[in-house]
Amino acid sequence: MAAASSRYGGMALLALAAAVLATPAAATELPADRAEWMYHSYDGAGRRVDGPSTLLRMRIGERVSFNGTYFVEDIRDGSPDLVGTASPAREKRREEGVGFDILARDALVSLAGARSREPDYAGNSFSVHVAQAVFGGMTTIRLGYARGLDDVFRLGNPNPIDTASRLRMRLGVTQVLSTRLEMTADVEALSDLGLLGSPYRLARVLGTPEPERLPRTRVGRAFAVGATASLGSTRAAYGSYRLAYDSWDLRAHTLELGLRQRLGARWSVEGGLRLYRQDGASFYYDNAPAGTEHVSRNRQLATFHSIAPAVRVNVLAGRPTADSIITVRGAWERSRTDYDDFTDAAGRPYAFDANLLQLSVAITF
Amino acid sequence: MTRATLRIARVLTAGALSALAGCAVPTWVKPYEQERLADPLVRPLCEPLAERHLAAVRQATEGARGAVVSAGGGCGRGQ
Repeated sequence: MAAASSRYGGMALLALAAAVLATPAAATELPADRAEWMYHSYDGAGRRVDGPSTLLRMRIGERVSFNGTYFVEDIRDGSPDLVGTASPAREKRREEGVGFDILARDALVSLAGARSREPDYAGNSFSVHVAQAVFGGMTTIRLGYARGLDDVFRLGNPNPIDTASRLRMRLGVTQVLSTRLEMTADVEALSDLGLLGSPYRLARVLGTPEPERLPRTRVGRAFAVGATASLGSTRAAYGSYRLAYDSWDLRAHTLELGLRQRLGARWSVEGGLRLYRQDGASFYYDNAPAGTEHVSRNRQLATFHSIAPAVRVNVLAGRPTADSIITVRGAWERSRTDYDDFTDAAGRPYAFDANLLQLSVAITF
Repeated sequence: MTRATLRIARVLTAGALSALAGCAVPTWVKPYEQERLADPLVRPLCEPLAERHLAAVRQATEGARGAVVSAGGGCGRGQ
């Protein structure tokens, strides 16, 4: 794994350097200065996670922009696959992130680092992304590279019991097809190594609970295509499809469709629908028939499908100065998930409804 | 793949990317004709907090990973 990641990592960094140093073909802009506060909430399957998050982004000179983010998640977990284990029922997770966007010869280079802390898990990540418009602005090429290194703890033990490392590499293209239509295509390679599950989660083998046993490596690929179209001066539509699969034999399809409508000068509304279908990992069992090298009853790895309609609303709330605007944004997603091979305490196929909510206020200047 | 072949592939990849960026290719949609595509309805602004939250929820509830496409654009476009 180390040799493979070194080889592919070298290729990615080289491609990034070439994109940065290439002759400029079209203008690229720094993101606008922005201050935002958001409340987020997820409630479903006995798990409730909510909290505030903040973003501050400011330009430093003509070619550099700095951003900082802070997330807090209050986690109350009564998930059916963790109930009865030693996993804490309530905990708080905090994440801090800093980043820089740099204009380099009309390419936009984004550097970001983040760390997250909760009582039994510490995550650290670093990423580099490059975007450059070519062919007169009709095509945008995007490259991404990210690494993560996490420490896994067990409550009561101050020293990490294991680690997990992650590698992500992504290539994407956005292509203008006409004055009203553009499409995107993305491919991503993923590689994880180490303790990739929860030290608390139990599997079920012949009706008897025992600690889950996951492979210590996971290699995946994902492909996505999408398109957005202008349907006039007040309406737009979008759609996307993603295929993801990995070495655990998990395969998933995601389809998203949506419509955006402008209502007057200040309001816009969006309606979307997300369909998701997953074929579970090869070592996933609701009740394993016999002892196997790897076994898990994590419903995240089960076979299931979900449907999730969503509504998003944006309001231009005010203009404090000529160069600044205040926007208020709300989003609500209601999802229904049905499992083929995960059962509840009564032995029936498990299903749940979940609500996702986001409320934010932002000033852009 | 031998080391020499890999080295050649790296140089060719870097050269191709460098050449493409400055390549004069006929464009059938001029920059001044992309006004409709620049509309926030078509190219929504990147909402990093919202997209980060969505990504965290998906990661915690689903097994699929990678190539996440935010609903109709947003941060994934390189903004």
